[in-house]
Amino acid sequence: MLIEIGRASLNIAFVMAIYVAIASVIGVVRKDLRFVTSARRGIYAIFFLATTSTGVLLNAFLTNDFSIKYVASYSEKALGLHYKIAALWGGNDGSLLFWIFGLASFAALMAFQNRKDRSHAFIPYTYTVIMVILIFFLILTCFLTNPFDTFPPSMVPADGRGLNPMLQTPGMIFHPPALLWGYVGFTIPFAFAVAALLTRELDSVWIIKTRKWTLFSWTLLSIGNIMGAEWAYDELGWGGFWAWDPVENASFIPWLTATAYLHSVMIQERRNMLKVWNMFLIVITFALTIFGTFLVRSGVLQSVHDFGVSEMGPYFIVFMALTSAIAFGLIIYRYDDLKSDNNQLESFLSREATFLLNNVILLALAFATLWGTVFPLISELATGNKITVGPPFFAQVNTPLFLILLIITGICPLIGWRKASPENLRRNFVVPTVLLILTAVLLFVFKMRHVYAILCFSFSTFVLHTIFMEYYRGVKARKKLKGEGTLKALVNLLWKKKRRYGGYLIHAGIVMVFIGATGSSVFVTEKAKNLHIGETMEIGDYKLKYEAIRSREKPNYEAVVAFLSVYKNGEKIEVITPEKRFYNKFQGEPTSEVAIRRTLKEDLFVILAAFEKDRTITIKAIINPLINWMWIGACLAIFGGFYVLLPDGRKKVKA
Amino acid sequence: MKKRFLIIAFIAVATLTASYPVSLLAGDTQSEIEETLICLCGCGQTIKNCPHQNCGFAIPAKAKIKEYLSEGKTKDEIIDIFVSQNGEEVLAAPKKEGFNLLGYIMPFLALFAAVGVIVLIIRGWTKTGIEDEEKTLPMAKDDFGSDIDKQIEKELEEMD
Repeated sequence: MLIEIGRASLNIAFVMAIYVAIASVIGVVRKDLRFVTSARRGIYAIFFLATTSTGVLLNAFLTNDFSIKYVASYSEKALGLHYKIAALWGGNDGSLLFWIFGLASFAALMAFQNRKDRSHAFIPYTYTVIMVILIFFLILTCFLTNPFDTFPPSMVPADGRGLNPMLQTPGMIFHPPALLWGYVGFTIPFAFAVAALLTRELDSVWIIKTRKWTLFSWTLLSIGNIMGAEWAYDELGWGGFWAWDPVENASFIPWLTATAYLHSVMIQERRNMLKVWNMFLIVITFALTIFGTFLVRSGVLQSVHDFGVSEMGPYFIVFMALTSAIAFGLIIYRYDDLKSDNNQLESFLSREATFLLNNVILLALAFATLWGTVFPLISELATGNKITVGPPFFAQVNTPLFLILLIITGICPLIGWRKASPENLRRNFVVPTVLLILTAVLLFVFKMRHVYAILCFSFSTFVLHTIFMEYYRGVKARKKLKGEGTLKALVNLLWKKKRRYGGYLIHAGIVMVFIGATGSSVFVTEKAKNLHIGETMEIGDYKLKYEAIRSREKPNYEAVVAFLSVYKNGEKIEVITPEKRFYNKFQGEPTSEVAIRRTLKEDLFVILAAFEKDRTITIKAIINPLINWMWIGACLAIFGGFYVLLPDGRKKVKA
Repeated sequence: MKKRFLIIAFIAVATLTASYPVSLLAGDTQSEIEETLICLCGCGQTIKNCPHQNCGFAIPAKAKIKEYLSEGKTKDEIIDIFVSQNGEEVLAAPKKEGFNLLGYIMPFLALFAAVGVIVLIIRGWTKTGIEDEEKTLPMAKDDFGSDIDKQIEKELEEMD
């Protein structure tokens, strides 16, 4: 019965979405608010139906209803409760349902936010655009990969096949939803953009209405990306956090274009410029989110993350091509309206110009990553030879671009809007440049010879100094103007200018990510050794002593655990326990549960690579310098993102 | 003139940095070779980083690399053996030759083209032309000011 409710909810949602799409247009064309109101209520109904459908599937996981093929494929009786929840989006069918749930939720929230807006004709069109996108996903779910498909009663298995062991990690509870909903979130600004193009309401209203949606989606995508990196670091057991895997790239590319949009949109708000460019960026960001969703399901590129080959690839390609063609076609059609009368820059030496350069670098990075991701296909088409484009390619091509981006992050705030004089530039650049050079010289004196690392650390000093000075000057100005103490001035500064100073928090976080990524990539130390009980191995300042090996049983796996004492400067500081797990349903795929001793200076990363019957073990130990700065920086950037999302602290002035 | 010099300098620096060989490795030759070769088990990772504990490709490949190194073979010789046995697909990044060279060059060509377009656009948008850039307009003094503190104070007043 419940299964029928879940299936029927999806089918009704499909019909309802068609109704909302049509009713919204009729409402605008006939100027009849009743249709628009009805469409809005229809969106609420779709949210209810999608929630019901998702709830039914979740309930099936929690109650071990293996009559549903999807549940039987991704769960088992012995699976922990939290992983049963995570299994909901662990496969293709469920993740598409989760997408629908996300889009229906966002659509309902958007409709609720704009329920009283009767002055902008683009709002009903926004409903239509969102519904068209929802209809596409509902077609896939209702007719191609229905998560409620069931076995005939005689073939219902007694237990499920279980969740892939690599997905049985706490990160999987948050990483896919954040990523998926980050993708979904960009549908809202895309819909507003297309609706604004359709209705010719091309002023900055749609930008302002979608500002928080864009930032919210960007923040979710940031969480998704960083949690993916953390998952790779903790779970894949190779000591790295990013392998430039096609699916990783697919979520990183829209993050880059969205970052470019978040910056360039400020110029439109402030100077009423770059309207065409901003339209282009939001359309391309949306198209890339669909591309990412396609890539994980198409099977065209090999990835540790994908759902395997499915028949959905062509549908996604056609949908992506159609939506992009329509959106770009509209941009071209409305080009004359979008062309700003105010496209005037006083100088190359202006913040506007540096923002444009920042956009170019971000797009170059997006292009380079996309290019590297699809180049194996292009090369095979052109030459007939299969090739691979892996980490060395991306390190070669993307690293210089990242460094340019980093230094621009520091240069932007030093250059004022409109035009900066050479005198201003000298005044603002002297100290950070001296610090930059000083850092580089010091690193060289202390025997650092890796050029990119020296550049990264010295550029980081430059950027962090400019951020610090922004806060310092702001606090100083408040103290002088308002007579506030330092702490109060800082709090008020942050509260009343969230966008500006929250933005600097994000920048500071990103700089820390650069520092952590560079330290752990360039200066990593690795050692492997076979150990008998009582033997030791040394790596860096650490000595590891193999004390014991034991096995332990859990409901759905058995683990072999090695106990190693960690000594530093002759003193025992910790006992760590790397383990190898053998999941009952995945006997051929043992997984490594690494042991990590984390400090701000470095991680000691220990993997139980192998063990023998005579209790000999093979230990692989890695020292990853500075890596925790990456996680701290990412948390700061994400905090900054949410902070900027908080309601404006400024008092509203009555007109 | 000064701007053109800056643009040329930017392109030169970017080109030089692009050609700088990046090694993400600090390990020994075994580790370097493992990072150079991709695992063909389907994981899409390098041999070194293949997450599959009983991988049918990465584990024998690691043993082979160790064996070849003990026989005194160089890194290039070992890589050539793997390429001859598995095709170019086994390389973690394509060789910089023939059509594949395009893979490395294209992003930078796109970047330079984009920078060129942006420079042209900005030139078109600058009312007073490049020659006047270094003169400070009165508006600029008001906006950015000789003293950044004044600007912040102005913004803070607006804000409150």
